[in-house]
Amino acid sequence: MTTILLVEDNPDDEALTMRAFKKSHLANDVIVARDGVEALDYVFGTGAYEGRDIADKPHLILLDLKLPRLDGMDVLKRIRSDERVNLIPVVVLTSSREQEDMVRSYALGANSYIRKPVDFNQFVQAVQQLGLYWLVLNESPF
Amino acid sequence: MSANQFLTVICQLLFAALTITTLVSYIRERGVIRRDIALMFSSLGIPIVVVALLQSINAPEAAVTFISLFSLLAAPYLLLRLSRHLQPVPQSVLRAALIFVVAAWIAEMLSVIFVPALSSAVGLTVILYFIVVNAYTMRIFLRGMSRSSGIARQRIYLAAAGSGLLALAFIIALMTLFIPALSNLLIGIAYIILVASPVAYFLGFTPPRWLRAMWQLHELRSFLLSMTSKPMYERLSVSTGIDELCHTAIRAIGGIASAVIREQGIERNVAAQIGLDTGQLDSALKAPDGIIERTFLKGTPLSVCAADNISVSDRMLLASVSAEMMHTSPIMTAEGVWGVTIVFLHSGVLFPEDDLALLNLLTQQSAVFLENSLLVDELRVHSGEMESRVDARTRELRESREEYRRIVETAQEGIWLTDASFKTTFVNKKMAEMLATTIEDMLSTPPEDYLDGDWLGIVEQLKTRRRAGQGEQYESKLRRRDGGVLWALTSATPLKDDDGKLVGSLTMVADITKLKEAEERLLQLNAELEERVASRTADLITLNREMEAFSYSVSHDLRAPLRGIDGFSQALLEDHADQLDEDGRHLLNRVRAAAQRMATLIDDLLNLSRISRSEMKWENIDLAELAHSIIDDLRQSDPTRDIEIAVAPEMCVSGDERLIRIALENLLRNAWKFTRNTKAPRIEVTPMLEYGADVYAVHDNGAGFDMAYADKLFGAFQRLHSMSEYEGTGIGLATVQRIIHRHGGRIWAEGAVNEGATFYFTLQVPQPERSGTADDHDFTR
Repeated sequence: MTTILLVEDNPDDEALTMRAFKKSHLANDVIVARDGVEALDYVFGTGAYEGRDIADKPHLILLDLKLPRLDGMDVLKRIRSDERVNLIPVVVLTSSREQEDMVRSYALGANSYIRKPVDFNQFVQAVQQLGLYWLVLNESPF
Repeated sequence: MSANQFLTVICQLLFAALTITTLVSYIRERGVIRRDIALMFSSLGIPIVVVALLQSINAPEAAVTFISLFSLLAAPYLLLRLSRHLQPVPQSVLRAALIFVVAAWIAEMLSVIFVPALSSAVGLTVILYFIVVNAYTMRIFLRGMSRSSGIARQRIYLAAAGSGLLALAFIIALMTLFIPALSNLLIGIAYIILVASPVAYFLGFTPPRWLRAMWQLHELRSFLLSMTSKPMYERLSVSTGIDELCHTAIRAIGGIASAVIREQGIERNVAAQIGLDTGQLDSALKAPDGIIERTFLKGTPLSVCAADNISVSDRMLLASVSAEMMHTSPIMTAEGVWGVTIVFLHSGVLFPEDDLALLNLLTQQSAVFLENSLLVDELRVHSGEMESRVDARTRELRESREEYRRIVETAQEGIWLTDASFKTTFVNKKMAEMLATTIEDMLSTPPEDYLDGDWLGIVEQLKTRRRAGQGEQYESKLRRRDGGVLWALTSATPLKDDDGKLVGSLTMVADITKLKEAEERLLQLNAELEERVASRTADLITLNREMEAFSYSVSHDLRAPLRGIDGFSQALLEDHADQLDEDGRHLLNRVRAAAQRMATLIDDLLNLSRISRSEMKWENIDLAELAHSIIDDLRQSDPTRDIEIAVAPEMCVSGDERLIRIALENLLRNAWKFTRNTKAPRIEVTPMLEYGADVYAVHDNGAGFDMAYADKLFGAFQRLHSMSEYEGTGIGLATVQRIIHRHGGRIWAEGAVNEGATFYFTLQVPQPERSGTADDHDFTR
């Protein structure tokens, strides 16, 4: 069972993303982190996830950029700077279409940058393709 | 031989010599006067010679006495005749004298032959006769002497002496008769006097050359003395010389009138005259046979005597001044006869040749003077001219100096002159005032002492450039003596002599202190302004950052709810379709459409703001290539459309490719959209050379627009069509306009309803230094 870490603070987006996963038939184990700190706690087995085996890495992290406490960029930076977890594919899934955000994300080691479309059908399509690619087609390094 | 005998011989020899000399003179030169002189001396000389001859051949005593006595008796009469030339002698006197001569001679002869006793009485009478006549002639001579002058006077004086001495000799001889005791002594004295008499006569009537020369020299000397005694300026003038000549001529030869006639060109006029009336000479000046004309022609001295056979004009001339004689002498200069001196003489001239010679001598001497005087006059005229020219020039110079002085003193600029060693030689008052000092202070102070300390560094450069002959204008800061500052705009010019050597510098100094202060204030204001601009810019940058943050937030946070609206509406449709009727489903779809439209609006707005903020990257772009690529995309997204596309080949412009693409895409998308309802739609992208070199156009034959709303086309959210006709946010053209403006270009549109639209735009040349900051002003609008 592959695990997806969804870092998303907006419950609507979370619900819609979960719905999209369901519609895409990606029956994976989705763990939701509501902010950057929580996301890192999960990855590094700290805080609320104290004691979690960090070797049990999520197969994919879907990372929003605008997050409370610690934003997406910082989370990405921390993950990429720790060699225990730095190979986890991280897909930035955001509302932002700012060139700067995109460039920075890739520079920090994001594997993909996907903008969340407003049209839900398109969103579903995007999530479908995303899952298909990263969880099925892509060969995971671990 | 006794002393008396010796003296007798001397006396006889002298009289003989006189006789011969006067005869020779008469034979040589003729003339009434000479004849009479010769006759007089012959009467005295012949008896001596004849007696001597007769005695030598032992002729009878009576014959000797007869001839010698007659001859001797004629002597007083002849003396009287001679004296006539000096003063008229009454005819009765002459006749009486002649009768007495004859009577005395007959009485003497008779007494000798018949009555020897009477002899002594007759002898006594003869002696008395001699005494009377001689005394009389002596008186005439003395009178004549008083009227004459010069050499003639000397000669008449000697003649008078001769007559007087002769009379004295006879008187003494007579005295022997009364004082027989002293007869030997008296006869000795009489003989001595008798010898002296012919000597006097000799010297008077036939003066030897040396004596004449001496007299002439004496006259000349007195003339020269009178000339040289005058002051130089008077002496050396033609008019003075001529006047003096007239005076001297009269004095020297005892004339009654004199004149100097001058010839100038063809004119002859009387230059000076004495004893004549004005105009008296005029008719005689050019008389062809007149003495003046002849003198001019011959160039020799001439003499005319009324007693001689003379021309009518000369006679008239003599008569006009009541003269008996006139002498002329040419005034000879290097150029020929300059003029003629004429002297008129009264009757009674015994020795005209002396007068003429003396006149000529004086005239020639005067000529030398005159020639000098002429030169001096000429010189004087020249020097006068020179003097007046020098005067005029001096005046001009003074005036011009004065003018310069005024200009220099009233100049509103400082004038500062330095010499080759950069020492101050002149400053005007204004200059001293500018530096709050005196001219004296400036003259004694090196110029650099007035320069502000910070400016001393330029001194050597200035000197070097001046030495190299370069002038220049520069600003400098000077220190006033009162401690103030003088900002000076200085024009310095090197001054050179004719050889191009530096002799000094002329510096004009304008006081620009006020200007400079204003400039400083301006600089200060500028600095303040810059500060304010900087602070404003900083404000703007802050604002811009806030704006960016806002945009970011919009991009994230506004879209999220829209996704919720759309997503949950879709979920509702999917999950609860059975609970919704057709109308409900339709409404939910409307909700979704509205949300999506809102998302598009947000995206467009973000795009618009991003265009203003993004950095420009200039590169060469081919609009044609870009247009083709965009149209390909459009065709792909809407393959059902069949549109005729005409893109001109190669339209190279310079700009930010990404932005230009957005602009062109908007324009083409619009054309694509608005030709949706057009039959045979056509889109053109082409350069519009008729509008200008860099004008491009995107043309379509679609819906077009009403030109009345042309100004609203480019406003954000401005739409000319309803959403149901043609969808859109109304931000596209605003974006295009902003992009074109960022490129420094212009955009405008032409169109008509249902006849298509044409969008024209220009792109300006790239300005590489263009930064995003300036365009942020756009953003605040």
